[in-house]
Amino acid sequence: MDPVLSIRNLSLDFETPEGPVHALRKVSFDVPRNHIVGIVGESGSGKSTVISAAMRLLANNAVIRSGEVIFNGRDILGLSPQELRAQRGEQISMVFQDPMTSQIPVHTIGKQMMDIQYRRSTTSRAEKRQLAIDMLRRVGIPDPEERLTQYPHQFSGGMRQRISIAMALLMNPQLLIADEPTTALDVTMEAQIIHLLRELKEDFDGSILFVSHNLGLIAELCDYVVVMYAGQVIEQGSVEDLFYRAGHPYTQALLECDPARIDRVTPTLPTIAGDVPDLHIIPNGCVFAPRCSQVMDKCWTQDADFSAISAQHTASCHLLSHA
Amino acid sequence: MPELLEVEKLRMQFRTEAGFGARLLNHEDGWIDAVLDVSFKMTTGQTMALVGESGSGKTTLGRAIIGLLRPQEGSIKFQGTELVGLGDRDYKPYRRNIGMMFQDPVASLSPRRSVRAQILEPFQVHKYKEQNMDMEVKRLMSVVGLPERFEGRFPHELSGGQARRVGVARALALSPKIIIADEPTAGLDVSVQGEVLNLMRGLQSQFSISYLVITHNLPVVRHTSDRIAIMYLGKFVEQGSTQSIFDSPAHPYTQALLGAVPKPDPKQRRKIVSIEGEVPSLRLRPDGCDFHPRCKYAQARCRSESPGETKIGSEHTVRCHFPISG
Amino acid sequence: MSAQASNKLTGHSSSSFWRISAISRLIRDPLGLLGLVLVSLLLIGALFANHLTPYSPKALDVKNRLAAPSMSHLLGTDQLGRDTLTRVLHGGRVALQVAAWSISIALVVGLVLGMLAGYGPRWLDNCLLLVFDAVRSFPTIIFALALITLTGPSLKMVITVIIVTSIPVYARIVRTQTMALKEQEFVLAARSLGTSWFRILRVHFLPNVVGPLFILASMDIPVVVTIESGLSFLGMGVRPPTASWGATLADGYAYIRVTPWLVVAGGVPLILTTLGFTFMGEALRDILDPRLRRGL
Repeated sequence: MDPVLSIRNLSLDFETPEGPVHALRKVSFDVPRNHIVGIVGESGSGKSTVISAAMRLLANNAVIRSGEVIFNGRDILGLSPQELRAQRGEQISMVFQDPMTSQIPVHTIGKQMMDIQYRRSTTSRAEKRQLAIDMLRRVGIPDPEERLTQYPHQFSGGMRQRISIAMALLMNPQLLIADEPTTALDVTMEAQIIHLLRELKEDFDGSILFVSHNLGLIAELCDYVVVMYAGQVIEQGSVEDLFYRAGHPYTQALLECDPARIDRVTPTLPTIAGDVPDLHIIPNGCVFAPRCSQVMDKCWTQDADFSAISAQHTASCHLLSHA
Repeated sequence: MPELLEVEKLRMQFRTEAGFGARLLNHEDGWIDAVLDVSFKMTTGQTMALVGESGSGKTTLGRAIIGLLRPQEGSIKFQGTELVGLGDRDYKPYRRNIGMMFQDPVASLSPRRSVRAQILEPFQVHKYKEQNMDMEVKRLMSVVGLPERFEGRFPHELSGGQARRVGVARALALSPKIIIADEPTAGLDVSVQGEVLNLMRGLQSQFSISYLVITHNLPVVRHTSDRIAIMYLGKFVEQGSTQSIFDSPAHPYTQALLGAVPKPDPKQRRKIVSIEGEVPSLRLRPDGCDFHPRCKYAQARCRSESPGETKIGSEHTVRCHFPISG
Repeated sequence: MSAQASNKLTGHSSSSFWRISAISRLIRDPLGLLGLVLVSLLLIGALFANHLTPYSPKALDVKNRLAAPSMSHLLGTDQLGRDTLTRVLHGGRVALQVAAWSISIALVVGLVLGMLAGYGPRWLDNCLLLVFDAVRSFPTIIFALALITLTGPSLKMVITVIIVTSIPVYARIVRTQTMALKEQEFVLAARSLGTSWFRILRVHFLPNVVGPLFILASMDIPVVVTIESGLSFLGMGVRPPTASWGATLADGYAYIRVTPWLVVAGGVPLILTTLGFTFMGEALRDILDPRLRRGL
């Protein structure tokens, strides 16, 4: 079965007064049907840029240098605005990070949920309303009939995010993209939302692309994981591959630094020394070399190709090409 | 020998913003208790974490201790001296003893003042003589790991990490005995949050500083704090040593909170959610125990009677009628 | 690292707000350059008025009244034979004096009151706002006319009126800026150190609110000049024989059938001053604080 989304060799720059920022370089990964894929990365990794590219919601100064974004077999980078509109909300939909700013404040949520269904020309208003009510109930909003006439500001952050999810799933998209959907929420609410996403995934017939910097959430939710650093994919594989058999030094270091993973109480916490590189200048060698604890001479001059660690597990590191 | 910091039965209230009609209908009296009946002690060289979610009152409590807000009831004693009720002028000398690191490192710096001016500020406010201040600034910058060339930089020219270090230097300037750190790891990637935490730890052993860390980040708390206080709707629902809280949490909310933290391990996925519902609004505090509407162990007594703090171990207290026995 | 690159975007430089680079960028903007030239001409004309022409603005030469421009009188003479160019240059002096005094005093008072209103207790804010709104509810010219009818025309009165009616405008802008800053974390940080409210306003707020204020004040200069000219035109401003563009315009209005040159001499400087300060002010604003472009 072909994947619902396939990003192939995507390279993207942002034009700035100081010159282009090479935000994405040869990013490639697939989202198989009916699976949850997680993109994990820290600041400057490019994970949000990839999502924006997939939704074609990029800033004006973004320039795609090469690559394809193939959704359901079609390269959406070449689509016209009308074709894109047909796709968004219906085949790909998105849940954003901040529930407080991602809904229209001056429309009731009922109106927003009805508007989303505008392409259902054969469905009556009453049926659309019922679909909205059912979806709200499904995401855990109590008394959904009354809630339809309320405005977003009348709901708490957690509720609003549930509504965002309801709105995103209303048209049965084949792909739901969730960009850090729980970062703005308390940890107890976060747990509820993640649990909700898992449950819903069983119900609806689609895939989820989940972006986060939180390794715990990635472990909790995802089937496959893509690790990004400084605009590149440096490792990808199944969630077990990544957490138990990480191949790239960055992934290994990231796992070591996560305080939730450190069993013994360690007052002095591990870090990765150095900073994320300035993406104005891309070095010749591996982009992680300056911070890598296992760096070799080769790493400074030559970027590594992807080596296969197992069937679906690849990482780009010179250490692996010897194996 | 008096404690470094002793807080007793502290109460912080705010005027509610609800209109007259809403107040009448909901039987509100126009005031909300952001912090209620909070008591705890801190000793030298100790790190205490205030853990809670939104509406827990942890930020308000932090601001009360540093004197940005005045409590309605209760006492805050620093080395035996009562701080509540002191006028501005009398309070000022005590500000040297308590420093604060703010959540947003760049926004907490004055936008048009250089790094040097920011670090000098505490000295100037407390009217220290100018002569040795140059050295002091350089010393503080080196202590927090900021290269000298940053002296002339402005906040918008600093990265988050650099701005954080300036915040630490400023908090450290007057050699405080206590530093309140408001979400020191907020916005930091996991791979670098250790830097600021390790810096704080180094300063603690170097200068015998006690920290009051306000956070919601439980995994970090486990590694860096000696004691934890869990807050819910303005009250301490549990406080104790980090080990006893993590090993044998006594309050159902603590248990839920610990259960809500996702483990970075695919084999440890949780099947059920540790807690349902949302934090109620401070304006409509539940009757009886604040937590009973969301508590899976709630019984009749919990619905009508609000529990007080009871001791369940040495230095471990819980506010619950039926604490979980570990 | 890349920290030093950031200030190129904002145009703010490391050490001071008013860097020479702002002037050089001003020169590169065509309208800004034009504005700068016009303003410079005005300043030079006003400052050196005494030296640029051989005549005194009050020197009468009735035999030569209402003469057309000639080599000896570059802009001709008015109805009393006084050299028009000299009167224009001295009129410029009056205009700038009025502008300088009134705007600078209004700025200082407005700044102080605005910061107090923004930062202080609510009751103070309410009181000040009440006063500001009351003053602003009078149309400036009417207000001036009313006062001047009571006290008689004089330059001092004009300046006073302009100060009184400008203070609420500046104060409101400062107040809004102050209130926006008040909630920021750095203010909380300053308070947590025990900083007095006075020091907070002086050290932390002042540098942040003063920038936009200067730019707006500079755009007010042509408005003030026009008000002075308007009042002088009505005979409510300067007392004869003091030169003023408005007075010259009034004279020109009366004698327009005899010669158009008085109207030109009175009107053109006004136009050039307005254009000059407006262009320069807008260009400076765009350079120093581009956010203001989106309106107040």
